[in-house]
Amino acid sequence: MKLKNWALLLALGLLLTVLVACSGGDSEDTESSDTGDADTAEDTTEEVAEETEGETEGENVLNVINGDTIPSMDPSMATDEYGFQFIGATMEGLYRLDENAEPVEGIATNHEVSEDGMTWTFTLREDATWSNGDPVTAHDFVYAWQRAVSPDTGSEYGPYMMGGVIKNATEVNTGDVPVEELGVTAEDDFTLVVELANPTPYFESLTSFGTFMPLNQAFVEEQGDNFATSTDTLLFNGPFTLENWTSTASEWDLVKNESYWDAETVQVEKINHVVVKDPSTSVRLYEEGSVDRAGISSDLVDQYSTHEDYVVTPETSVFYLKINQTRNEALANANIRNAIARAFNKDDLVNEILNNGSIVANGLIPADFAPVPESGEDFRAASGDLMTYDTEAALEYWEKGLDELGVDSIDMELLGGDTETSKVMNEYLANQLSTNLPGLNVTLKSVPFEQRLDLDTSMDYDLQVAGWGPDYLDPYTFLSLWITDGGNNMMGYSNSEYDALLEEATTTLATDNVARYENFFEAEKILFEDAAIAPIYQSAMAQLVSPKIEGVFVNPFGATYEYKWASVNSAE
Amino acid sequence: MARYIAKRVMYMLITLFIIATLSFFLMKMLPGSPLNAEEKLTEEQQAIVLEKYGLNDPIPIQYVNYLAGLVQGDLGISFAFSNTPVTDILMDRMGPSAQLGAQALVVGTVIGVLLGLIAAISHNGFLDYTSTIIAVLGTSIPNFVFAGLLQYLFAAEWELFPVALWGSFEHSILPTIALMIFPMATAARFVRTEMVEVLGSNFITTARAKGVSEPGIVFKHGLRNAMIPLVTVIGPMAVSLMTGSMVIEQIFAIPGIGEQFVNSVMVNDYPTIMGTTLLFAALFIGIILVTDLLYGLIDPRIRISGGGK
Amino acid sequence: MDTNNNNKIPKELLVPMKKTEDTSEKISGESRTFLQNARRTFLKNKLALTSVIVLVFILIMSAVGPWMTDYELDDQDLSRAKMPARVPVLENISWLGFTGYLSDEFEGSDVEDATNKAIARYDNEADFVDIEVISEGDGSRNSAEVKATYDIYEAKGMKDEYFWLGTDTLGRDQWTRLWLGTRVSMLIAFVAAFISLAIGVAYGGIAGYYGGKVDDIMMRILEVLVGIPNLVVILLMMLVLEPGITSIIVALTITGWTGMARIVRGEVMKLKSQEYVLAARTLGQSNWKVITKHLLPNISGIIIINTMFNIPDAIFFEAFLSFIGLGMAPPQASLGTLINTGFDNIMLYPYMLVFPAILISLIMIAFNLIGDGLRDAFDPKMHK
Repeated sequence: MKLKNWALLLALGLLLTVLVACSGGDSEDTESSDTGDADTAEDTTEEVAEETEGETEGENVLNVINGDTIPSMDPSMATDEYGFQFIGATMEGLYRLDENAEPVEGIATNHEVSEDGMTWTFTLREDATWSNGDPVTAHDFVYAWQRAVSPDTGSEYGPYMMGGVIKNATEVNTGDVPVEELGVTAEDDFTLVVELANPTPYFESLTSFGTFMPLNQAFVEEQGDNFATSTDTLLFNGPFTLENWTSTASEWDLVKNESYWDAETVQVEKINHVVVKDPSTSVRLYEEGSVDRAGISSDLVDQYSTHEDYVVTPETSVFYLKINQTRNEALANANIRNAIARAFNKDDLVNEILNNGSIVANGLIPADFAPVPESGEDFRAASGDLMTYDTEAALEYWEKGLDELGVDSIDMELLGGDTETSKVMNEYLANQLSTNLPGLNVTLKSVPFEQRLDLDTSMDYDLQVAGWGPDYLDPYTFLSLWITDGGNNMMGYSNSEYDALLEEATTTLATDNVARYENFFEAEKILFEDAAIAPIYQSAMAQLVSPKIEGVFVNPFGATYEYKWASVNSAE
Repeated sequence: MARYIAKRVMYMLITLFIIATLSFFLMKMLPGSPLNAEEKLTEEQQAIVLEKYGLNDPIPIQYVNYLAGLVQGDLGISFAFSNTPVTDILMDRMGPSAQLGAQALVVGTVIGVLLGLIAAISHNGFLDYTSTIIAVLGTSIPNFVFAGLLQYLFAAEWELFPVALWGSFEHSILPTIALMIFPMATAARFVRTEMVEVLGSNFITTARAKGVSEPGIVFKHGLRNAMIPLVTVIGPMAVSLMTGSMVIEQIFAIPGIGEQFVNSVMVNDYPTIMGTTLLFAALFIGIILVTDLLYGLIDPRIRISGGGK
Repeated sequence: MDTNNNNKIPKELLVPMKKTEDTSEKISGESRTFLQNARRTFLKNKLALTSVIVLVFILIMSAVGPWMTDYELDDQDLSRAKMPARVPVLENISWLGFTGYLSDEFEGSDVEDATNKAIARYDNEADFVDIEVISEGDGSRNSAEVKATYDIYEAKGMKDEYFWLGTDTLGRDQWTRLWLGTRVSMLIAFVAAFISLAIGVAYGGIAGYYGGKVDDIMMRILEVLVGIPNLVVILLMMLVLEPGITSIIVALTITGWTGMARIVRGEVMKLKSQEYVLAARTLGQSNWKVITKHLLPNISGIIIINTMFNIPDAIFFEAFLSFIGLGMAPPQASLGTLINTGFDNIMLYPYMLVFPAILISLIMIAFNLIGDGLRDAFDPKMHK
């Protein structure tokens, strides 16, 4: 009797499974079309299992988290942090930045600069090869750079990084001049001559940037539209190769590139990457031992700031309120802008909300970024605090501004990001502004990054929490943002004096570094006299980093992490 | 029957067409284009990029092109992943979601039916109350709250299962449990109600009178009849699996379709949003159609009235 | 012998039977209307009754709760951020979690190391941190463990303050925000459910009552609409609309009425062919009268039941939208946004998640149980 009971139950279970399978089975052929995927899923399962074993043996393998998928591995097309990270790790440009952000030899062994600073001649090494065996030559650079500015490519960073730097880059990009006229030529296979549009003192460090990587013309043209969409359609010449990657992959590996010219320096065999977006999940993975590095978002700092592996890395990104003068007429009033820029407590924000080593910003150029020529003093220290938290001054400006406008209350919108920390920060800023400035009503709008950029482009905001990270080692990368009608201005700021100072710095004063910096100081001062923006903070990165990771450092621009000189400490 | 199916399929296509149209025009109302990022393009370049995505044409033409592409199974090219067709993205992401959904549905229903059965047999007894409470909790507690609880307790505190990520079977256990709670509870409630009703009906009394053994009554007569209407709740279950996939894949960092959808929303990747929307809609409509047809096949009464001589 | 005895029944005992009415068919109970029966059945359902009480309590609290403290929705003060829950009297019962202490376990190579970490973690206020050694350790990495308890209220000089449910990351009182959030969630749910009800009843009623061509066309439209998964439409709508209460209500109602319309139409179809309706029409009552006097009262049960299940659905979808970041705009609170924030702090400040999570679960359970209870109450088979 009992047995029969169970048999019936079992039969029932089977029946049910069949029933459910039937009903689910026809659901648009997901199951059937999926069998292929299911198999691959199993494969990866095994792979993961093997990897975990490898991990415990701990032989020069690192496991790290990436915040998102890699949108593009095409050096001409990449625009974001992750693209440049993996382009930097798998490709080698003329130079590479070392620990102190100084350029060290890459494909170029050395270079000569003409006296007027306009012609740079690079000598390339002859032993560098692509992962398919082809040698890396000067022609690869010529092809890649032409491709980056060619209007047919539709690159965003090409014209941005090269325009005004390399001769004819802007003209080529607008189609006024054929692409062959770009100021870059291959004298022979291993000599690259670059003519500049203006003397650019930081050009050497610029060549380490992703957009300036060489490309193997034959390979790129063979792949056509498929180029750089998966591991199979990429060629590498850097310290690592990218394996198991497709453009939607959520897991991939950096594997040591044995054909890299400096392969013996590279010690790490493999760096496994996995996409995890949620900060608390990544921290738990770290504690579980599945990954060797995890970012700590501000709300988790309390918990992990006493963790043995807690590390704070300063960054050179600056965050500020963009004040749009075109949409809300109150913001065209300098007194109102001055009031807003002084009306929020940055100390509390940095210490209590961000809490991750970020520091208060009272100017535009970040600290520890650009040393002033000759004196060697840091730009920020030399320039001083230009915009500080001061409720009394803010109130004074505010009342003056309201008088001038003849109103007693103003409504405005604050646009900000939608990550957990930025949401908290936005709420705080809105609250601070409306508390400290009577009569100000702030409505909040927290949107995802991409949407914020869209709203920025269409100048559809009043105040915006925005940030900027440098694209090369020069204050100009920040100051050029606010040139009248500049591509990133997008808030209607215009000051002819400011424009003139910067124009001068890039043209007549280009070879006189001391005078350039004088202009930069002057320009930054004007920016804050006008209260064009309201600086908030300079960011830092809090992380848990396993003590077994050694020699990984963070670049001030371009690829975030540099793994070439990294090693795995097996003592742990 | 064939006419009925044809009619249903036609409705299905109309519905899909409406959804495609609706999502197309809603997306056109939103700001944003593939020209995201820092906007460093000159006018000419923007034109080139827009051309590539066919965004230079007037909207009606874009709409026609879009529909024409749809018919050929072409959902367009993603804004966020350069040069990647939306279909490829969806195919890539299908695996984990399908596995998770299937596991949750099967395990959830089986356990749910058993719970319902136990409850019905011990009508108003202790077991009945226990399983009723489980069922009420299961249908009431939001699945993301439940998922967070599971992750916190089983993975973070007690370290029994991996915290997140996708890969081995173990990785799928916690998300499956979180996802199956609703199907389980729904099935349990449904089977219990049906069973109580069936067990009180005349033909069961007749069967008892004829001396059919108790298990025979429960399984052969009772459950068979109670199971049939279960097909009707597959619709709500499908919905719960879809919403569940979005939050649960997010919480457990699983590279599935739900997670992809939420991300596409975050980065304004309209072609992918539209593609996923259509996929969800097609799945949903397909499931409803199949359950309706199945219902007709399983329930003898409907069969008789439908195709009787 | 025996037989003889039986026959000797004294005659006086044989009295003729008085003729009375046959009472076996008499209705002994008082007669009750359907609604009386329904009420009786409902009141006997203890779970449903408890749910009603719980729900009424929650509704009252969402009205008066925010006034019970001196804090406002957006009263920020970073100096009192992340304070744990503390309730007078209950603070003395340690396991309840209303003590106002923060407590955690810390590991280090030895007790001193672990203690230092604990103190560093708790604002370096060594005087207010109680250390309890769990394991001494042997000098190796993370071998020692201590349990530290930090009296944050005392340390911040707020011994007289009570944040009943603690404060959030911006120092806002959670009690205030929780009830204001409940208010918003309930508002969304009720308004959405009633708009769906109105549209659904009107649409289903018209289709069912007029029948024929009207019904045909309306039902074809409905069939297509029902096919659209509501989740997809809700998400698309939320993308287009500005976040806020109205948008969520619009998104929820845009598809929410279809279920009601279907049910109402079915019921109306069934009822309108009943004799009493026919009679009313034959006697010349206007359509309006027939609908309001005869049809509506008879389908009200099913409408109420359906609404009772729509409300928790709406609450769930609001929370779901807020959870994936498409819901309410800050600083507005709703149960969904509170849960969302709570999730980010689950490891360290679990109280930020626990209270809103419990509350939303309670509300959902209560509505479901009431719905179940009403369904039973309106089901004649369940009347006893």
